[in-house]
Amino acid sequence: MEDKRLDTENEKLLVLKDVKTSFFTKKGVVRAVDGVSFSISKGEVVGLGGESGCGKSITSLSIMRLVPQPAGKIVSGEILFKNEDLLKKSEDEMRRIRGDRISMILQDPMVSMNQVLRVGYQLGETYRYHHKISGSLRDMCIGLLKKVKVPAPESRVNDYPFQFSGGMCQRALIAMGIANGPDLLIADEPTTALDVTIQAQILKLMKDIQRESKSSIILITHDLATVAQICSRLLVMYGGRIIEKAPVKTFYKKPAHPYSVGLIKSVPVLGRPTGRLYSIDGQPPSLINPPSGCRFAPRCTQAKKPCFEIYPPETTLEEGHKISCWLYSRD
Amino acid sequence: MKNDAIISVHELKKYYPVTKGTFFSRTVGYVKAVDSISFGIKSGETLGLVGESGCGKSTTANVMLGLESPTSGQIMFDGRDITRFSRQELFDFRGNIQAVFQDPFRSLNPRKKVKHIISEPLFIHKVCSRKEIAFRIIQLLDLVGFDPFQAGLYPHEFSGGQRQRIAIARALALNPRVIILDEPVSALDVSIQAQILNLLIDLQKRLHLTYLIISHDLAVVEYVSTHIGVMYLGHLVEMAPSEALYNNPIHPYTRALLDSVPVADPEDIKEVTLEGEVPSPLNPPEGCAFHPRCPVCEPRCSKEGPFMREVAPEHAAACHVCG
Ligand SMILES: Nc1ncnc2c1ncn2[C@@H]1O[C@H](COP(=O)(O)OP(=O)(O)OP(=O)(O)O)[C@@H](O)[C@H]1O
Ligand SMILES: Nc1ncnc2c1ncn2[C@@H]1O[C@H](COP(=O)(O)OP(=O)(O)O)[C@@H](O)[C@H]1O
Ligand code: SF4
Ligand code: SF4
Ligand SMILES: [Mg+2]
Ligand SMILES: [Mg+2]
Repeated sequence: MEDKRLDTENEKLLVLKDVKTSFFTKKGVVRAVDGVSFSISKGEVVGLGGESGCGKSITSLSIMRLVPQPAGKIVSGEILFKNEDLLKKSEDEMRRIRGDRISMILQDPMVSMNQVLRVGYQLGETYRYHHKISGSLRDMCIGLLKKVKVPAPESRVNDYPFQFSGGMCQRALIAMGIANGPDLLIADEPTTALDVTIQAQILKLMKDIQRESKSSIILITHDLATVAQICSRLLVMYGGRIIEKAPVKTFYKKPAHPYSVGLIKSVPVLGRPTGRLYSIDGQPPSLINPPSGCRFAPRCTQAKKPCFEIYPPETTLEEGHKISCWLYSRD
Repeated sequence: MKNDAIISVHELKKYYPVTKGTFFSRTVGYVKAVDSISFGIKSGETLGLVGESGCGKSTTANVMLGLESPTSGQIMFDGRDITRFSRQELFDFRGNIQAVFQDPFRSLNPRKKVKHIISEPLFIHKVCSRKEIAFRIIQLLDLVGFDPFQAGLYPHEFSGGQRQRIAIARALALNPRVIILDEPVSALDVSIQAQILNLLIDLQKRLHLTYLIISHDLAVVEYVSTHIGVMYLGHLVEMAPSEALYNNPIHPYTRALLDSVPVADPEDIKEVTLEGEVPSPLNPPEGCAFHPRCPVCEPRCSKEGPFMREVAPEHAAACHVCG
């Protein structure tokens, strides 16, 4: 939940203002991130949710300034990290921030690690890049593996990634992510590739680490249940834009945006047979030359004429609950 | 229950040899991907198979589809053992069991038009004339919710959910009685997943189909299945009608699995119920395969493996202690 005391611009760790990131392809301009604004307070765990292709990963890669080149480009906006605009930093300055002040954990643990280097070596490199080493690097790596609960860290530190299971690889990646005690950890679908019993373990680990280190976390996921388990606030993306921002407790009790409402209703819930599942008709939008109106209009059962023409402005429903939909707009 | 099943497997095993050496490779062991499992599905019902990655769900499906040959065991369809079929018999039989797989992007030939993709089985099996085929294509497209004009499009012109509809239409072409669905909605978005699940349920009612559905998502399985089978390291450890499995799980692994599923409710935070990971199937634990992770393990569990036994009508579990 957003703490009022932290709610001043100064205490905001990260502020995105109208960020636009596009890919310039043969088929046209893909507006992957199309005017995204949000902020993250210190120590806050925020979920960034939405279906595949809605722009979650590109939003996080924009923050890291790692948008795929040469097609991708951050077109406009500001990304303030500790009050400094990351978009104005040199590549050198960014390199010092990445992996140190902001770090990232990616979806597929097997792919994210270098398969021919020992786990311990990769852990050490992340650390060494940003620090002078005091004491044994090996001991430090073992300590990190211990922290993320890799069993038998003393011998595991010498293993290659392929000798690790998916769950252990994800633990090692989290170890790398937290090696330097970052202010912000971005985890992009960190549990999607894992089995449910392992998912539960990894989510618990992330919660414990967050409590201890007080880092802020952005958890990117298409799975609303994962968000409910560890985040205090949720940002829902659709078609390159954020359509709803809400404290999780509010969101799951009374989602407001027609898309959010439909999304929650269309997920089967264990032990709650629903008869027929609710389903949102139609297909997710293409981000190539999107229409000017609400991106959800072609699938929305409540769409009216203005929905197809003008993008709805953000309206505040109550403290911390904001939504972009004409149904709620007071204009 | 097995007697009036349309399709059933009996002590089905599939072992993959593990070899060492490149030139003179020798077998050093076996991955027991499926280790003596038995179950049956009644006509018009749906069995869901769940379990963690690598527990043998897809291997079971592939053996039942004839894509892999079993190491031993029987697969009975309408009272006949299809593992004993000759090639010709198997070819003639194929139409009875069809499949839909996870990845709608890879399972469709990108260079073929939709009408050719879905009518391919009809050509191969020479079941109808050209005229009839044209009619059948329109019929199949209609079944999965497409307009006739879409027959001339290519797979890349469709989204993931629509491609999965094409794969379903193709699976329906030969009027199968059983459809095996291996992670049919795992690659799809949440809002599209619901469309496909509803379609599968409608088709089942309309065409009186029997399903075997595999998914890592327990809620999805529970939603569509009449019965659920839980697998662990190549074994079937519990099987029951869906409601009974959810309301009265017997096996400690089933209970842990149900407890681990995250729910979209911030007031219902899940505790970690199972420590450790699934052991390597190359080197499975002695006795009950679950014993190293089992919270109620007893001394004998590490010595002898439990067998499936009935704990209630239609409800069986393999555990020395529970049930
Ligand atoms: N062709 C093969 N050769 C050797 N081992 C195999 C082969 N196919 C599968 N296996 C092994 O058999 C076991 C069962 O695999 P299977 O693909 O059936 O699992 P699954 O339950 O479908 O898992 P997932 O949820 O990941 O799809 C695994 O340990 C796997 O590594
Ligand atoms: N390298 C690229 N070239 C062109 N388009 C891209 C590229 N990477 C992503 N996109 C497009 O940008 C949009 C947002 O992608 P992404 O942020 O990865 O979505 P997700 O929400 O699934 O993480 C999608 O439409 C995707 O197709
Ligand atoms: S703005 Fe209009 S089309 Fe968009 S979600 Fe709201 S009501 Fe539906
Ligand atoms: S047989 Fe023993 S180890 Fe296996 S599940 Fe039952 S109690 Fe646990
Ligand atoms: Mg992504
Ligand atoms: Mg599989």
